[in-house]
Amino acid sequence: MISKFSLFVEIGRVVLINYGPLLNKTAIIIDVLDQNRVLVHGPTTGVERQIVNIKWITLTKLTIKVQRGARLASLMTAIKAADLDNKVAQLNLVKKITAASDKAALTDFARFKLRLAKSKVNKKVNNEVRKLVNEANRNSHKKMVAQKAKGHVKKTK
Amino acid sequence: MARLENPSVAKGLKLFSSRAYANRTRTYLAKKNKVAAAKKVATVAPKKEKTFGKVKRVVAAKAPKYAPAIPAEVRAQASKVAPSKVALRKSIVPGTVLIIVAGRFAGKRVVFLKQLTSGLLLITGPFRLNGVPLRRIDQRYVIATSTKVDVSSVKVSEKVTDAYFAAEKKATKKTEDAFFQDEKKQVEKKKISETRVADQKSVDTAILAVLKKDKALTLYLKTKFFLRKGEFPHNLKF
Repeated sequence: MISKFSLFVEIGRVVLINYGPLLNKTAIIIDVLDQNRVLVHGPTTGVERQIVNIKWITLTKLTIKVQRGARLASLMTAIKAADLDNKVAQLNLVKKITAASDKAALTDFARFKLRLAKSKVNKKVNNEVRKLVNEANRNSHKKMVAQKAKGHVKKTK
Repeated sequence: MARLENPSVAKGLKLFSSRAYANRTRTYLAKKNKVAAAKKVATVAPKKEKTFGKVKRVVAAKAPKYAPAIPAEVRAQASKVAPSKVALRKSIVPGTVLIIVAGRFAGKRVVFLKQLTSGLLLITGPFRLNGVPLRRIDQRYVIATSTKVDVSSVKVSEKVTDAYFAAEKKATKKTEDAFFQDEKKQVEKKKISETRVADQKSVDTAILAVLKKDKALTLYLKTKFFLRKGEFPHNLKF
């Protein structure tokens, strides 16, 4: 039977913590204790080895090869071998979070400049869109006129 | 600073309350420093004419029954506390762009020039950009941003002090004619003195010369600040 799921709570699974003081930090599942709890550790992300409720974590598509209950040294070598930190940064989920935190860190003036740049882009896009729409409208109008003329001819036949 | 003794009476109990102690210290210091130069003036009791039955006699007036324990001059000196200098928020330095939070100019982004002796902030729009003139404002009514304009080349004339902004006193008594002409007067527009216009101009030109280099900054000062959807001031970084 083919499973509906593609991500599993398993040893070596990279997870994102989505609640509590460690919000938005990534860690690796080291052990699965029961249906609700896992042991996670993120030595490179500032997550100490600890038990976390599964409701507090989001699974990512990344896994690394570690043994159950792996100690720090072997975990670190596994992380380095997988080049995990770079891979994590490439995740869409993580990208969104970093983008949001970057945006929150903007000063008032930076926010203002961002708005200026946005309006510049929007103006250009809107201009192009308007051009295309106008042309399409003109073409459809021409078509209609032509069809009407045709229909008129047909009726007189 | 020399201090008076405040001996403890019992465990956790001092002889004088903190306020009484402060008062005593102040009078003590005033006495010690001889600020008041409280000399005991041997006052010659003024003489008075009094009638005793039919006889009139010149008699010395009665001295006041109670003499103040501390001479009045000393007391006056002690009660005078020099107004402390108003500490400026660390985030506000000359050139800081401020957002005015309350009043007629609420939402305007202005440039801070200097702190006046009263502790109020001297600001300007500049007037040419957003209509905010040289003006005083309390730092409570202001959000300090991290943006700064280089105002090292801007020289505010020495005469711009707190007194410069004081309102001219109007004649309180009205003549009869003036009373009836009151309505007419109200229609007349308040004229801004030429010195103020000139001061404003000199400051504006100096700042605008600096701002010319940064178009975005000029636009920034021109536009008002307001909260957009999902923006909360306590979450924003200024």
